[in-house]
Amino acid sequence: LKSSRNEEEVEQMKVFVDYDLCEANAICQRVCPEAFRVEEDDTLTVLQQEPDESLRRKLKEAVRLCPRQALKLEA
Amino acid sequence: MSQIAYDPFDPATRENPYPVYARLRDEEPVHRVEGLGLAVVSRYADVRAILKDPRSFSSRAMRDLFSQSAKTVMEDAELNGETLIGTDPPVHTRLRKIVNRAFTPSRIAVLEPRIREVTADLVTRFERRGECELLSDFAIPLPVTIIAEILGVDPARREEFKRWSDDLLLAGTGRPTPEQAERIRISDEDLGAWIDEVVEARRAEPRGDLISALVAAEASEEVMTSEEIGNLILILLIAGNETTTNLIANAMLALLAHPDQLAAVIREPGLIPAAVEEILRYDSPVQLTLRRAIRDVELPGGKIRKDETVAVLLASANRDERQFENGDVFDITRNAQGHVAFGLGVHYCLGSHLARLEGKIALEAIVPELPRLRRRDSKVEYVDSFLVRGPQRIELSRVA
Repeated sequence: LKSSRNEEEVEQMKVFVDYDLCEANAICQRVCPEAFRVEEDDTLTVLQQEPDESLRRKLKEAVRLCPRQALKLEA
Repeated sequence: MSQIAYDPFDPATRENPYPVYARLRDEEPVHRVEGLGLAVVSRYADVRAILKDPRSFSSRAMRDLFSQSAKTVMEDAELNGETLIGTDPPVHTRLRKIVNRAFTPSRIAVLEPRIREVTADLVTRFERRGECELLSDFAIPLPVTIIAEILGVDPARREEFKRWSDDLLLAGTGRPTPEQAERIRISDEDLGAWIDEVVEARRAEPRGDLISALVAAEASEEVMTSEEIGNLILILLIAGNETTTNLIANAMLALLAHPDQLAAVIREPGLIPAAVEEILRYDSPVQLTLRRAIRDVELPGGKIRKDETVAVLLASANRDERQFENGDVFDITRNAQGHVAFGLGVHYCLGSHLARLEGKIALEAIVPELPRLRRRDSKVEYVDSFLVRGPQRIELSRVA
């Protein structure tokens, strides 16, 4: 049996970027600026790899709208 | 047996494909066209699922369009080398990375002053005359000039580029008459000779343009063959011409047909970017894309069988009520985000940033003029292609 503490750990969201796909379209930054920043050299920085639960809705929207489908959200 | 007669070559469908798309979505989300050997997919969720899954749905089907083009020129002709829109990863990933550098948001943003300059110049010219044919006076020359400058070729030859690009599109996606096929043969020869010439010139003397960058890639470890360079120039000329031309032209038709929406953008020019998105959704310049199923796939709307060619109806997905409330209504105030006019995933339109910027600048320039202009032609003749949608001409003259 899992302890409640372990379950909390499993639920921690994680953001993954497939950098082979990402072309810095910056939709994610528009939808969730708390977690994504597109740099001047057209590269994407993930500001929060393990973001706060309050961002879940925005992050899911960013994943859905990414033109290149380069984002993944786990848990 | 299917009740719905979906024939993308049918003149009535070309004029207005949306009623048949609606029936397809409601009655047969996976529809089979026997004569063409096609599975037609029309719902948003299914279209997205296909575009997101290049491992199950190969873009080799798009390559066949170019082969079809080649066959119009010569019966036993085969397309040489790879094309960006007709390959799958990992070949696609390699080609895309090389060419994408010229189309990133920051590289495109730099072009804004030049796009404004070309736009203003074109508008001034037809304003003086008091009338225009919007396609040849504006919607065609603007994107051709800009893509020619990106490639690093002489924009003065834009009429040839346009003719070559029209002819190749007709060969691959229309139904050319014997006379047209003869003209296509000549265009193909001229285009081939021109590409060889310009690639040779950049090899001898590189500049800061895209063709020079492609030639450099050819010489470096990021291998690009001469044939791939030729195919890429060709795709950029076609994609850079036809699609943005149609975006601008379809925008004008939609706004002229919806005076309330036109009044709203005139009052509030800040709505123009949203209007561009809504045009892309409502009357998508690229109506469909093709894929070939590599395996059997169960989509929410039905089953696709291994080896089937799939017509992925982007323009129908963009009208799907299941995704966009009142999808058949043109409404620039709606949230059109999530439309698939530029596709989705690995083949997402390389030129989307350029298209959006050109669309925005074009609308900003023309929209304020529209209330003083009237259409002289009442009927719209559409381009002969099952792939792209846009009018052949829009005649406008100043209201006295």
